[in-house]
Amino acid sequence: MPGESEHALIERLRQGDRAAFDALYDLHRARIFSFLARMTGRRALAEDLVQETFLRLVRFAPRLAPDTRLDVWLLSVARNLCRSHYRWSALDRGSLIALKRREDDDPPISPFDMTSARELERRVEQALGQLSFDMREVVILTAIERLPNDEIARMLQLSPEAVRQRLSRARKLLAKALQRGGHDSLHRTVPDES
Amino acid sequence: MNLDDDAIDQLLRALPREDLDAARSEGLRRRAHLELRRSVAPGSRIVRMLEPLLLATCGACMLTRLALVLAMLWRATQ
Repeated sequence: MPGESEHALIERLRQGDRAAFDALYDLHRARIFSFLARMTGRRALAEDLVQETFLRLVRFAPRLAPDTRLDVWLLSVARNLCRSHYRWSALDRGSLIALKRREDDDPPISPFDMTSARELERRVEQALGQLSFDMREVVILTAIERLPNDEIARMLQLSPEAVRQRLSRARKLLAKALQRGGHDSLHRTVPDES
Repeated sequence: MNLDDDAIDQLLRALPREDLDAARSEGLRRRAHLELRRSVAPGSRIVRMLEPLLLATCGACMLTRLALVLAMLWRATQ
């Protein structure tokens, strides 16, 4: 199994191989859960939806094409489940996500920087939570999940231009929301990806 | 200061990726294993193979009944 390609794992999953499911589940679980948590703003709901997403993987595995990009497939399913739920219930779009930080994964930094970084994260999460569902999904799929524009357009059944416009509006709203809260912490804690 | 698109994206990417807690994750895994076992059971394989035929038969039957009902209604109006 180490180094086994995803296609090989999908093929084994189709035969009912539990180890193949475990490998795919471990590979994609956190990503799908994070996506759902940010889309819904509710940890418990995200847990239910991530469960349903992976159960659908099991049910639909026999019909998956050999060259399926599983990350995109799972995000599509998760997004559609979220949208269905959103249609039928009133979600509080402004709510913050109260998620447990995994302290042991944090690099050692000063207490001041830690407080500042968390405050910034809280503000970014809050600003993200205040976007409409449509804008939030485009921003998350582009910026966090790093899917290409045409892939997102296919998933959302929009034109690439419509996705670009939605993304542009979403980024403007995020910038506005974040700038309202002051600039100093932004200068200090925007990560350098170089 | 204006936050440009890259800065916004960087802020978003810096958000921590969360995960299911261990107990919930394990529960999901067990449920998926159960579903996997069901999906490869001989019975479910047979149903999956026959599914298109069953759907086509049901569809044909429904259309036939609809045609009969329409014919009866038409006769009743004559």
